[in-house]
Amino acid sequence: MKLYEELSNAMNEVVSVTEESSDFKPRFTKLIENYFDSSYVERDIDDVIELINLSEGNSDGN
Amino acid sequence: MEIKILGWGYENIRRFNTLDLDLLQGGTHLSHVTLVMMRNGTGKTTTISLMRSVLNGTATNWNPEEVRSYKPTKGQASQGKFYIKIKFGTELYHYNLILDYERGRASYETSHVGMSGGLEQGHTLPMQLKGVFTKEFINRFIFDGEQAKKTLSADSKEAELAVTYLYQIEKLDNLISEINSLVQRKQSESDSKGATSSSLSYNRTRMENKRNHYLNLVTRRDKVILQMSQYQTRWVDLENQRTELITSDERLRQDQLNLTSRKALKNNELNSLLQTIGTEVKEPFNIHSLFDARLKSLMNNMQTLKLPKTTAREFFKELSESPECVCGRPIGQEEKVAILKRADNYLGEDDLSVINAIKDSLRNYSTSGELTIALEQMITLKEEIQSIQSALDRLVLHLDEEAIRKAESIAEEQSDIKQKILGLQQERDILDAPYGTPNTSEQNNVAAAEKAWKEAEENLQRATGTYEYTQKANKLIIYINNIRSLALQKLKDSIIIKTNEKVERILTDDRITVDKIDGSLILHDRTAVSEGQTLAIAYSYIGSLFEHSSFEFPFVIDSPAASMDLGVRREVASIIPTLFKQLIIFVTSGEVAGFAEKFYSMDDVLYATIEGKENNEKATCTFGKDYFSAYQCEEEE
Amino acid sequence: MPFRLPKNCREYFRDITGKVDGKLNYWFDGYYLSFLVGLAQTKIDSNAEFESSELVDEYPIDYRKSSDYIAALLISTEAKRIPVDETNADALERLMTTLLDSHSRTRLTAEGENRLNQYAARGISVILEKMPKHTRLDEFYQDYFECFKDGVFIENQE
Repeated sequence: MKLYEELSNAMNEVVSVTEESSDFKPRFTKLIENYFDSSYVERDIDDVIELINLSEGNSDGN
Repeated sequence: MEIKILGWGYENIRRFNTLDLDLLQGGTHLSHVTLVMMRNGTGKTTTISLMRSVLNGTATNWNPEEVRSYKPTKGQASQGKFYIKIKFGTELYHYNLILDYERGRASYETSHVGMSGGLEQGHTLPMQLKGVFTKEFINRFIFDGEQAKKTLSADSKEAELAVTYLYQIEKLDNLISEINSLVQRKQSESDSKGATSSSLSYNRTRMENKRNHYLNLVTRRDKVILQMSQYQTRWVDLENQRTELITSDERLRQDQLNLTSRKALKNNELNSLLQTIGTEVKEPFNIHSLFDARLKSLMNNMQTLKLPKTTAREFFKELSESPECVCGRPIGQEEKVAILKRADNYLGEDDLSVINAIKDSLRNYSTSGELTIALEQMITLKEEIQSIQSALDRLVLHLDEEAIRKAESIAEEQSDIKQKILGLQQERDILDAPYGTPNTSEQNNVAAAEKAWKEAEENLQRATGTYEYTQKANKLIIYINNIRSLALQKLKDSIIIKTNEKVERILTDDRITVDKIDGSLILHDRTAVSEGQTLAIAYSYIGSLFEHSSFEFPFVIDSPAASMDLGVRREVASIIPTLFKQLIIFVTSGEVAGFAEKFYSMDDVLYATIEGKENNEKATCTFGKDYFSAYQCEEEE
Repeated sequence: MPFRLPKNCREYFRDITGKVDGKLNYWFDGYYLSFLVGLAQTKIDSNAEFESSELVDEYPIDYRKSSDYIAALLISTEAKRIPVDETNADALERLMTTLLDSHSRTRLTAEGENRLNQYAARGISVILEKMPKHTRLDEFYQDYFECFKDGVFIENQE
């Protein structure tokens, strides 16, 4: 299902300012699309969590 | 995708008994507007409720009482059915909601042209609408007139909720819940891998205790704030009663007025003095001789030492570029580095001007006694105010005996309340103090308790080996929340623009705009709008909500005009057809005047009159404007 | 580094700060009153915790004229705290270079601003110890200036 334009834009804006890896970004955006489409498994969420980078020394999303 | 309701029907449902409504009337044309007249009590609410249920697929969760509530009161029907014919794009679907009155259960059947085998058990939606046709979603296009008004009511969050549900923003909340569940499961799995040592158990218990304690403190804080507010309200109430005692006595009223007026004047003077003190304080040399002495000492030293020196950092930087020093010695690379390093110990040219400015200020200031005078005046003034207050308090002594008794009782209660408020204030200050404030600890301070809980939680996560995983999950949740806020705001902005475009077209006599959506719709610079304007704005908003999506929905409204006056009805009647592509409106005969009759002059309107019968007879539906308008007249007679 | 409120400051001054008559107009007022006490103590709090968001990065308009006095007091107090020989031109000039910056909005370097923050942190600790919390500005002022007058706030008598 195509996401609403505002949701897609919001997703792209948020993702573009993170310093996550190049693997994370497409996986994360796809997870959200799949979630809205009810086309996901728990493992998808697990994988995306594991891709998060903690090395910035904080977990406040900045 | 266009979605159209083509008709619906009842079998053994309450007073309807059996009835079929085909909005196509055997043909192919579907009217833009369908007006359905039903008397109050014949089943408008039932129809709305069933329409929602047949589309959202949730009736299977009904308990037996709910199912049986649709059974006709007369007769022995063992089963009832409500069905709807609906077109999704070019696909025609037929849904049956089967109500088994004997067993008290509801079930669905779906038939889809093109589906092999005809009718299938269960509630099947087109792929595009799966997950979209939720209860909350459907309630926003099948609704009653009161719901529309809620979008503008400050007490309601309807406007914001509508956006959240229609655009499925709540799915992001669901995703976050799933992430949290995943994290918790990881922790338990980690526990159960033989790591059930006493330390894990200890950490878990400790974390739970700390969390409960934190929550208790939060609850206590809320309670304290509430109690304070209640006491303050009571105090004001008592004060009013006290004033009432005095003002009701003519002799004392004038005294009270005079004293109150003097007190107000003195308070104004006090505020003025506080301003003066505030100004004087900004010259620190006025506050204490220590500061004056330091400034003067610095000034003297700068004078004596001839600071700032005229030789400045720039001089040394230029010197380092020269082949020779001022003393004639050659400047090689080593010397250059040394000069540049030391140049930073000297002020630059720009800094010279800052120092000179400071020197100037120090040279030209002089202390004044204004602050001391103002402080003394403040103390005197406070004493005067206190004295006036005492005089005000003493006024009660001039009242008659009974009034005095009342006044004493009021004063006693006020004193008691004051003590209580003080105690609560102290408790609140401690509860609310920032982390690390002296005399606070996790026992009595919310911030400290929260920190202790979080630390215990971290320890638990470390013990279960899920610390890192949890941190990552938390970070992901933050990203999702950011997306949620941003998406919601963008949606709101787009919808507001569209709403205002419609409002401008509709309300030409008055400039009203929606400023933002914050719970309800917030209008720009307006504190009051008429009922008609409220509904015009509400319907414009609802129309805009759906217009923005990729689906075109039919709107089903129950009694949009019920409690409105005639002028408002006419306004609403002229607005809503312009906002929705398919409109089905249920009205009672009482809503014809001003509302339904406005449609008589419009094209493409279908009129249906439904009459419930007594004694187990079938309800009937008669199409046509003449019958519709005649029915209303008969009712009025 | 801009000015930052020490963690206990906002809570202490909460009831006497607000944009109404009879209250301090800015949170900076509380900050200023705190660092005056710190300067009077000639002590900083090097372990202070501050609010994570900055208070302001320049003086509020009412304080623009005081900026020279504040800078001068900072230099003079630091000279006492470190200590630095105020009769030695080089030493004094070196001290000034670490604290003053003509390009900064406050005319202080980041170190200078941080030092003021630390004086404010020390100041509010002393205020919390010596004065109760007040809900009226007139009562606060009375108490505050009484503490100055009686030498309660002055650590090293000169």
